[in-house]
Amino acid sequence: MYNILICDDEKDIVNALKIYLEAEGYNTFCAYNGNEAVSIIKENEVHLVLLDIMMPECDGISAMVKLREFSNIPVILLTAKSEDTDKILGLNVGADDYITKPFNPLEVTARVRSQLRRYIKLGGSSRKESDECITIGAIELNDNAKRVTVDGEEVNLTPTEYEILKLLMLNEGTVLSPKEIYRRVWNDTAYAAEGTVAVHIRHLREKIEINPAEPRYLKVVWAHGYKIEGEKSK
Amino acid sequence: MKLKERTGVKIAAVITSYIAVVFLVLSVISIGVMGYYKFYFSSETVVKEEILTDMAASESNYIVNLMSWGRDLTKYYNDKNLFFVITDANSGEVLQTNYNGEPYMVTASTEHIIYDERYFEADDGDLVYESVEKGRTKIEVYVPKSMTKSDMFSVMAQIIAISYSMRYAMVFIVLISAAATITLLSYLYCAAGHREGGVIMCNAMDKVPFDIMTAMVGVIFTFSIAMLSDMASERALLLIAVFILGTVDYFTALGYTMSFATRVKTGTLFKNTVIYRLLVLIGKGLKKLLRFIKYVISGIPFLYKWILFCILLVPLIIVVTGFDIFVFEYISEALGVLLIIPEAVIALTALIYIISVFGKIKDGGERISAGAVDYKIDTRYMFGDFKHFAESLNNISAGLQNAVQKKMKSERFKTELITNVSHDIKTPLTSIINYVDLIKKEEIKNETAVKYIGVLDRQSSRLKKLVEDLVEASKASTGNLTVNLSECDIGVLLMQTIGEFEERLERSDIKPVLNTPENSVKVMADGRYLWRVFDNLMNNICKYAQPGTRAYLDVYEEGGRVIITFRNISECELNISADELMERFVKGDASRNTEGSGLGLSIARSLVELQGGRMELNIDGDLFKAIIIFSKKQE
Repeated sequence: MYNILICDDEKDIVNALKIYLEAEGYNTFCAYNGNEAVSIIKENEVHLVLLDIMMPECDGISAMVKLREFSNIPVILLTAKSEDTDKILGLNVGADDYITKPFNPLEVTARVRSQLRRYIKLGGSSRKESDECITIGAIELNDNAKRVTVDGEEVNLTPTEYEILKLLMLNEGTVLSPKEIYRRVWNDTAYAAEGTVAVHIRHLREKIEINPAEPRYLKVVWAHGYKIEGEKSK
Repeated sequence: MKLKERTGVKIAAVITSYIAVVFLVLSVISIGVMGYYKFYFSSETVVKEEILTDMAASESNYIVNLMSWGRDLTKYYNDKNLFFVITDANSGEVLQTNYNGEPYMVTASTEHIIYDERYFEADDGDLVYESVEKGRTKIEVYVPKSMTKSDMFSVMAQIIAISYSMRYAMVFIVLISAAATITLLSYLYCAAGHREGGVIMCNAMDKVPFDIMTAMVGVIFTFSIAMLSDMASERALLLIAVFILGTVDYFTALGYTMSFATRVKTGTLFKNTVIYRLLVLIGKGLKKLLRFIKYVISGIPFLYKWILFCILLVPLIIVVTGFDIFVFEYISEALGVLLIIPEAVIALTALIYIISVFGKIKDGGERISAGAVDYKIDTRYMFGDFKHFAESLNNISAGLQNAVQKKMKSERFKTELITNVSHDIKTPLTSIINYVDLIKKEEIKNETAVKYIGVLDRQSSRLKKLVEDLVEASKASTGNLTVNLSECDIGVLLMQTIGEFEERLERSDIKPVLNTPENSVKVMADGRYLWRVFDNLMNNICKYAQPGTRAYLDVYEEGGRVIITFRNISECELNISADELMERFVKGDASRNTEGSGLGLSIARSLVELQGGRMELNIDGDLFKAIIIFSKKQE
């Protein structure tokens, strides 16, 4: 049983989130501004915070700064601002993830689950790195067992998808063109067949990303290719 | 009170300077005389003897005159320190003397020939003059050593004695008086014009025009010189005249130079002249005349002004050409040819000037019309109508610039407003979407209610999309986005796009056909924004294309440009123009009420333009074609 703090000045949104999270079996605390949120975290055992940025009195960013002085629990920012600069600011002051309003309830619960799993189950304990095991962020690929887990949950991949993911993970941070991926996964140089790479990548993203349109790991570098990248904030 | 402001001191200085100048002149003259008689090189006795010998010589000549006048020489020289001996030069017989043989200091002698003059009648009857030497007399004079009587010789001897003793003192006097003169004159020139209280002012004399004053001084000087030359024969008068006229001239010159100094100090030297005033008057007259001519010309309409100019040019050309021909025919052929060179240079310069001014105006006009609203034509060396023309163009550009700035400001304001409003809309929208979702999870038996909830679900999603598109559209159309241009492979991007849309296309039963050249096609663009463009166009294809047809995605190079086309067959009749379709909030068919904001094409076009490209739409029956044109990346 995990305790989640929901903090937003809009009571209806807090309520809705409360309903969704409690349906998933979480305990919830509610706060309506930054100061309340900080004092609740000080007095109770809280495992995760959903924090709105624009709030009266003490806004999300200031609350973040105060919170990080004594706690390293995961924080997911809720924001109506969709500009990249706002996201970067949030991640820079110590947020673990962000969700833009208006959000999809399923996305919220998925991100909450992901952050909690990493914080409680994986966080702290150092991972065993072996030749067979590649880990980037929450993705773990075990080459011996041909098994891929995201946030500890197993993902079913087709052999081609698996090979593509392995190739990208081995070349973490490098942009690979569709042609290159095709050549190395299919071991072929067939003309115009690399179009299928895009389709496979799309499917792969749908399986390993919470929001395939805004991927955390498998990024599309438009007009160039694809790459896998760990989360920058961590 | 300062020394130079005191009138009494000035008057004293004037008088003292006069005395100093008199001393200076006299001492210089005496030094000159003494120098002439070798006062500074010989002993007193030698000097005295030389001067007295000169006097004795002139006296011996004077005796000849006295003899001819029949004067009694003994009586005449009775009270003088001079003895004479007159002898017949031929016989040596002493004719007359008063010399007693006492020792003499100097002696001189002269010979006098006595002629017998007569007239006689010659053979031809003419009267002939004849003079025949009758005899010779020798006249000797002696000046005794001891001068007992008081006369010219004794006085001269005394003068010489005094002068000789003072010959070095005189040099001293010259120096002193010169120093005094220089000091006093310097003071006077410095003090000229200074008045009590430190002001510099002109007196009555200084107010006389300087050229008139100069003329008056000239008259005085000429007059005094004329007077002196008139009196040259009368020695006694001459001395007095020299003194009086010298005094007058000195004071005239002093006044004149002091006035000059005052005028220089007050800056009225040239201004206070009749010539200057005349010139000023003439200048004013000319100015008025010019203004009048300008006034008359400005009243003439543009066309007539230039016609008048051309008409006036004709006689000028005729006169100049006529003059050239005249010189060529009647004076010198070479000169005639030489004359043409400066004329040609002047004419060519004028022509080149006009052409260059015209070129500048044309250039500026073209630049301004091409959008360089901050361009200014340099009007420094222009005149008349050219200048007016150039300035009006500059004013137009300034007005345009203003308008553009205002427009940009208002666009930025609009974007800000839209962004802020959309933020405020997003919060309640979040609640709506979430609670609709929660209602959907409730078990509702009423089927109508379920249907209505479906509508709410669909419309709230649409509203979400609309708000997001609105922000993007306003940012893209005002250029409020940071664009990072880099080399983009269009083939790869199209492939990625089709990959992203694979499932949706399948759902809409549309088959994509991609045609790319064998070698990769690259343009300078921002991959993220180019993807948004392709995303919007593909969204349109999925929504509006006739199911069961193909969508063609082509990319090719043509004349240094890269052309990307998206073609599909529209499901509905496209009874709308391409331009209208590109407008905001316009959808292919007004009656169709599907998802979408109607902003997609507008956003796509704005994004393409932000990246330096161009987007066109083409509708041919049911064939819908979007064309994106980029210039090819320079290798």
